[in-house]
Amino acid sequence: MIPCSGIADRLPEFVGGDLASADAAAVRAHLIACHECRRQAGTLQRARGALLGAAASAMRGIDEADFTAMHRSIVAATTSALQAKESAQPAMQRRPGPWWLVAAAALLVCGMWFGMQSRRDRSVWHRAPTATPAASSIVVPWSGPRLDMRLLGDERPMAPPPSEPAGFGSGLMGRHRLRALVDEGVPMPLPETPR
Amino acid sequence: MNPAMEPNRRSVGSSSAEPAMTSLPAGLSSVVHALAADASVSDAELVRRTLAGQEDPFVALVARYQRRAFWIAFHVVGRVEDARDVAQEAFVRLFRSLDRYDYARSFYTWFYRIVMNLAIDALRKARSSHAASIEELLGALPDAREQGGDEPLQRDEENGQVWAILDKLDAKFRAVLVLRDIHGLSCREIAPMLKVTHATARWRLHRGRQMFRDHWERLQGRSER
Repeated sequence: MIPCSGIADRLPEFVGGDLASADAAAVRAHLIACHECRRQAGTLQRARGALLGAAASAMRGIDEADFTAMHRSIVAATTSALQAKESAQPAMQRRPGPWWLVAAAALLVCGMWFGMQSRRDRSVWHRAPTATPAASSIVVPWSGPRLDMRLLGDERPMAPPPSEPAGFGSGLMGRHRLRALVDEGVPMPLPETPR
Repeated sequence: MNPAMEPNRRSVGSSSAEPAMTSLPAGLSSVVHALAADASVSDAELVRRTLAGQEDPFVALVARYQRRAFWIAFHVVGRVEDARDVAQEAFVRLFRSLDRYDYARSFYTWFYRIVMNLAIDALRKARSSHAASIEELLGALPDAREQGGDEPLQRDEENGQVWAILDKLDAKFRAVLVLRDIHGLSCREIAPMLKVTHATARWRLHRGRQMFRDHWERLQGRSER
């Protein structure tokens, strides 16, 4: 049999008819045997009855005419809300829009224009070729043999291409190959690559 | 069939006041009365027609739900005037937000949520303006021994005690108690109305009943002394 403490927790649901049938049967069986739990269930039932009774008696205090009048006032209130909404709509249409929206759009357009201008200035494609001061050659790591690169505007003649292929040791691939040569006993350092 | 599309001629469950909550008000036009009484026209359909620009469907919605809205508000707030204001404001808000109605959900759950929110707000506002304790009310009630077993007076006294206890309960417990025990809604229906989980709704109902019983027992003990 379920102990009294377990029953006390279920009594509100039992009295309210919220228990599953198996649980309700167990509670009912306990109540038949236990006087104290039966007394508690009786109190709960009387309290619930009083609640329902008070609710029902309050309902008798409102008659049909009250609801008819209430219906009219609700419909009138919603109609006036609708009219207020409709009268507000043409005013909204006359206005060009909130001032901050216009200002934000203008700012956005200006920002985009300036942004495009500055990008255009930075771009290599749109920059005028300028002579650079005594440009030294720039070595760019890459996967092939060493190449000479000159800045735009540097009109000095390029060195003639090497008669032999450039030696290893330049560029990324070159460094990898260099390690391989060390392992093979090639004397270090490698001779300077002719320019 | 989508449950939201079914007509909502809901029963009140355990409440003894079912006819008083579901009958239509007098003085409706024939079109509105036909719309409101026609069980094959669902609430969602009335909403759709209202949004299409017709006026009668909304008036029919008001006719269907005004009593329920009023009584829910009344049982939560406890005053006729406040309940009337709550019901009216609930319909105005409903009308303004009809375009946000989710057709996949049940209309009455959505509408009752509006009513409950307004009612709980009104209850809290009323409590802050005139708080009365059960003890004060007990002093004002006639002594049961002086009544000589007069039944209507005893019933009035008992009803007064019930309202005093409901006033004493926290709004969240009172709301669940009213919706479940008086209006017969299930905890699964109550949970979305109060924006809580099913477990929370059940727990609040359990605690609300226990608290109501405790207050009731205390008051009964005092009035018998």
